[in-house]
Amino acid sequence: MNKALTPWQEAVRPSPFHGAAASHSLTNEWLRWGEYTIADLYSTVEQEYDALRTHAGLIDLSPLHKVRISGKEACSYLNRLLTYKADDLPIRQACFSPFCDDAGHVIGLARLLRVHVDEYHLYTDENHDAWLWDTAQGYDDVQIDTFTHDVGVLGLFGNRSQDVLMALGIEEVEDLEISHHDEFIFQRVRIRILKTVSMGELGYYLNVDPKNSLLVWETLIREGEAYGLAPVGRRVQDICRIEAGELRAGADFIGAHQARYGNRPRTPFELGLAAWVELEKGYFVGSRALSHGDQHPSRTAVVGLHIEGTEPLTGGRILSKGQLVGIVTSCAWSPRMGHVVALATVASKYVEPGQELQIEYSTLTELEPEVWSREARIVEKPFYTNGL
Amino acid sequence: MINLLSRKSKTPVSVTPQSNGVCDAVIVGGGHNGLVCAAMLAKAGLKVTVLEAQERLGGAAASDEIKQGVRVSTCAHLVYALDEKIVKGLRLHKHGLQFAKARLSTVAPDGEGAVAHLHADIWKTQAGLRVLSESDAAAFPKFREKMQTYALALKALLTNSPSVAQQSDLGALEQFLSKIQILNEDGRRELLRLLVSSSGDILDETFENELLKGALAFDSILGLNSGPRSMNSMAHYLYRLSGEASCDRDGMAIVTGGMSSLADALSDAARAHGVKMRTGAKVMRIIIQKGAACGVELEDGERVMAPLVISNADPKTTYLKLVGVEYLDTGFSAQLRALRCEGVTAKMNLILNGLPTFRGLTQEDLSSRIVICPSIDFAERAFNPVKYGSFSHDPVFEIIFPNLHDTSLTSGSEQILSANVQYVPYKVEGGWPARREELVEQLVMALGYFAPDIKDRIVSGHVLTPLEIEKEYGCTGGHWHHGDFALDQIGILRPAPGMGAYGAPVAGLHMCGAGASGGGITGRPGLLAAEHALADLRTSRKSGVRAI
Repeated sequence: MNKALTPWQEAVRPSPFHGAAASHSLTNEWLRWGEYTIADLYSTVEQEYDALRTHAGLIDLSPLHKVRISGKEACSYLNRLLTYKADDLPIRQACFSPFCDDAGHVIGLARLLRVHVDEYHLYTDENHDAWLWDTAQGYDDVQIDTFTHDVGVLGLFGNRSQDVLMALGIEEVEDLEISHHDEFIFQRVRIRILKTVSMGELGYYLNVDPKNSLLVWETLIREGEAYGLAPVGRRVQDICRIEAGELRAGADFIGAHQARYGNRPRTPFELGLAAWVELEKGYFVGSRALSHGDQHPSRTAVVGLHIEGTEPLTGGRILSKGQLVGIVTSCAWSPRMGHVVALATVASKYVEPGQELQIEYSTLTELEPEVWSREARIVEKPFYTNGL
Repeated sequence: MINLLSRKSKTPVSVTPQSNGVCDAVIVGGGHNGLVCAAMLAKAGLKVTVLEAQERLGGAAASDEIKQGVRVSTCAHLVYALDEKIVKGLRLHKHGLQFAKARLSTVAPDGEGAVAHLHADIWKTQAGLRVLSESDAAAFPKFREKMQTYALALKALLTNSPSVAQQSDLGALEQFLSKIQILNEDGRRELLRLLVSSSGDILDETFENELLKGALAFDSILGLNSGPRSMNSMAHYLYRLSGEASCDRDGMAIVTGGMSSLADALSDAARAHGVKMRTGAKVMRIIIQKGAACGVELEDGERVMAPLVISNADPKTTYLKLVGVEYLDTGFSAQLRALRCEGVTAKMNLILNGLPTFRGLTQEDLSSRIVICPSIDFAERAFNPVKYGSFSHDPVFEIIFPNLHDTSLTSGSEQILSANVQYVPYKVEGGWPARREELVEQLVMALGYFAPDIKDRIVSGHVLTPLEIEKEYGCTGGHWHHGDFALDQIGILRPAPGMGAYGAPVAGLHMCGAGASGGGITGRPGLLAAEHALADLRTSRKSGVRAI
């Protein structure tokens, strides 16, 4: 796996759930996530959205980058790596945290699970191994092992997700609290279940050994049918996470290591992630830069937009009195809200809810450029969460 | 709550100081720069404590009796352009500092009878050069003057490192660019060209005589892990010249009584200003609380607390060992690990039963600094082996006979040959213990070409490889600059690019050693550190908060 790849030699691998997922795909619409191919859409947006928002959605999250961090200094290492407090995370609990470079710019967003006293699992959307290793230099007892390909991850989200798991006989999940995780036995198969909130829904991450992946998938689909469970692809996940105001790396911000232009990286404050920055906890990578807020004020902010019309305008230019003040980074028609919702990056003085703005968007229509203009206004995020 | 677990000691660090002594500033390491910094701070009214791991103060400014009745400078042997602010400001002459010889001139024999003389006086030099080449003699004064102008313009950039300047590297660059406005447009263009040139190329285009070019090239490479054909050698030449150009009074000087006398004068001056000095006090850890340095912990667990910690240790030791990566940004610690600090200069002291005869040199010439570097190619060939883990068989030498100026050094008729030898690598294939004998033999043989009777005159000797310099003087890599003086590691990029972008990597921690702004026995890094620490204190007192 660690074989050096030339730019045109990419690794491609099927998700452990690929065979099962493929049998449900009516559209054959797939897309790439890391080294994996995952379903963009299985059936229709309406059906999948309805399943996730009112029943339960089954999502293949296997491409999540998974790293095991262990050793006596793992705790101190993570406390230095992450902006959020990691050193008092209890065993069998999880937290969310950005991690930054020296300049306090966000490299990526992570979910951290504490598995044992000296063992943690870190999930990120992208591979940040080089940074994790660099940060481990100088520690005597920190081991970093990537196990992305050794574990398949299923997301089970929506109102009925708990019922589905209970129907499978995993009744202990009833007592599992949010941000807690534990190992459960299901049909003599050991799976780790994390209860969490994502896309505005309560739900679970199920870690499954790849050799049991088909068994788990098929059982979930079979038993879940009674609860309206359906597999949900990336497209609908994206609509739901925009509704919930969740950022996606590469869409709503560029990771500090991907950015080539000096003004592209963002601090956690600029991304609205201040709640996950613990300046008081003591030193962490980027803390010196971030605690100098007066020298490095936030230049931009991420806001929610309510846009007129029906078309999603991702990439649209945001104008105020004719001046460019921002860009629409993620946009979708929201079935729940009945209008177009968007996440946008705007200059920091345009963050007040109620602020009226214009969106300008150009398309090529029958080989002629056509410029669209839509009215928009800033609204509070999240747009929608399912009663959470 | 702050993180109370220290990685190194595995014992909880209490937030309330349990120090034995509280002072305003604690200096880690009593090298000559540490002493300069301590004395300057104490002079300004601060309570300062110096903690030195060794039993003596002075670091590389050290002398010892290597044979009964013979006292030699065991590491550095010349004071190079000691800053006037230090000499006068600390009244070092009153505290016993004497120069047995100042404004030392240079002679460079080629081993075949020709000699280049470089005097502190340009016109005297010019007159002497006529023997070698009329056109070179004509070109010399202009070259020298031009280089001094550039060296002065460059000084701001080379000595004002962010680690002491507490400002962003880009800010320092802007400041530098505004300072070089004193040069006209062509002058600025020329300076930028010189910075990225090799001294070999610049000397080749200016002079024709190989011996003269070799002698001048020597100063561009002494202490540098590069050859005269390497791209940054001209920048290093200008750096060395910047010291001399800005305080031309003493130039290169031999200290009466050996280099430890400088250490004695400095520690005397420091003591007179109330500095508390402790030897045999090895600092194991710099204590960090709430992201700021607030004291140090010694080997026996004793703590010395101070709001200002100033380290005379090299950057790698200071940050990676004493502070520890858990208080450092990932990018910064990666840059520090990448800092190249392997020295290539060995120190050799030979005790001779009489003065040797160097081909082409008169007895009088032996009281000058003797540079063995007959051509640029000679130096470049000497550099080649260290790239591949070996040492030069024909190295370049800087030799002085200190006892010719200071009779107190020997009791009998012995003569002391003190030499810096290049290129001797830090790591050698096969390891140093195994190849040390071979090195010593080779050095004596190489010297024998220029001074045929030297082998017969040797009574005893003392050689320090960079590895031994590291052990003896505690500088990582045994590099007397605490980090190679390459273009990517000088001035604002020293010791790491962007280091000063957010104030300092660790609040309350300053660096006063060669790793901050260049090596050599100049005292400048110590002086600069003291100035900046005081400025820092004034700012924080004014604003009521500590500058981080």
